[in-house]
Amino acid sequence: MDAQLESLQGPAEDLPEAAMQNEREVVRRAGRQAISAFLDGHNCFSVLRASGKVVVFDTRIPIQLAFYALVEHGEYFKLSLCKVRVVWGWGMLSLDLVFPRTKCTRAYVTPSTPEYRKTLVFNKHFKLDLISHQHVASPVECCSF
Amino acid sequence: MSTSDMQAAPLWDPAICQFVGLLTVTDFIDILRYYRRANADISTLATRSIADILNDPTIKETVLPRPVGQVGFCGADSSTTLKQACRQLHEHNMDFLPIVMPEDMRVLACITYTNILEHLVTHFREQRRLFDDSIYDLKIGTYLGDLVKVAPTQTLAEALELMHQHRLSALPVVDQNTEKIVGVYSRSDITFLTKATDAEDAVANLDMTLSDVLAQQRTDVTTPDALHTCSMGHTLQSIFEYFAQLRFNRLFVVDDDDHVVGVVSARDLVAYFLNDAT
Repeated sequence: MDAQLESLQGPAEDLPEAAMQNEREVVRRAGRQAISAFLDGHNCFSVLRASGKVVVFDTRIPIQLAFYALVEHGEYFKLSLCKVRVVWGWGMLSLDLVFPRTKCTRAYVTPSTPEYRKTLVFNKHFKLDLISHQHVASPVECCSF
Repeated sequence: MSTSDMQAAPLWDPAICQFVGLLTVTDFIDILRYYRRANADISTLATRSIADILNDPTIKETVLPRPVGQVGFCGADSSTTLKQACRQLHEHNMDFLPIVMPEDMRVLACITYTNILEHLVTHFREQRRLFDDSIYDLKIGTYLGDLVKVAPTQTLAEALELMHQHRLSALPVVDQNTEKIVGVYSRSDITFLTKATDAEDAVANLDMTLSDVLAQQRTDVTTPDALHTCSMGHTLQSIFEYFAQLRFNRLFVVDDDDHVVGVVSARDLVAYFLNDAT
């Protein structure tokens, strides 16, 4: 491949059109192969940011609440550098987020029955630990982290 | 961090203890479109569950761009190569790919073509000059006849309908008289939602003209959906350099008079390297 590329170093106008076309194809293919090899050589983990957030919705919560939360999150957290991961809700109304209003403290998720709006009042600086699916299956564990 | 970080959320069904799909902000916009069209009682959105809405056959068939409930949760292991991830995004026509930790099935992030390109332009090193052809010559992007445009006088509802029909994530807004590009409306622009006082108000906002929508667009946040342009003569190398600076989801290709002649998306760029790479 490199030998073929080196032949491009001569003055392009001296090459017959067909040869130039061929050389161009060689270069294009080499470009595709280089990027393709790069994409093969890196995995999804390498793309993840050091700081990020994933909101997970329980499918039983009202859709309007879900979208309100999605939009509110985007608005509230765009300037926050805290690592935030949130699992939202164990049921239609059995959802609450309780957190101290101090910078980057942990949050607690409890299966209580609050008003909708209350659940959406976020502190800009809270940090909520990652809750995995095992925790979702048994909300009690979430209260103890 | 941009506002687009929060535009997709995995859906968890506690009854079966599994992720069952992905919900995006654009889904909600589509649901509002359905309610507007059907003249349905918007207040029910406050009580209807995600599962109920997504399994509603009428909503599924009429407005949702992808059958969320049907395909289920289509995620990728964090050790999946970027090539495989790109193929998965491409083949399933997805905008977001949830990345899952294999040990405990934790969702770590929902990545996009733009995230993958960001990684590429940051870490890819190549001494040879392999990308000096223009994007137009390389047939990367959509041009002229296939291009869908919208006028500033058209409504948001019309623009969303066009995007739905053509499966597009954004439209160039083109002045009818000068034919110059004056803005871009992307499905991720949810200003009309965030400014709405309630769901009813959000539905009413669908009747706003695009010129009003563009006037409301925020300028204080970085978004990969902002209007950026390039020319047909731009080389792939220069597009990569441009991307490294601007992290765009798409570039509109314009001529010397600012007339839109094409569009090149992050998806188009990635697709070019997926095809015929061997």
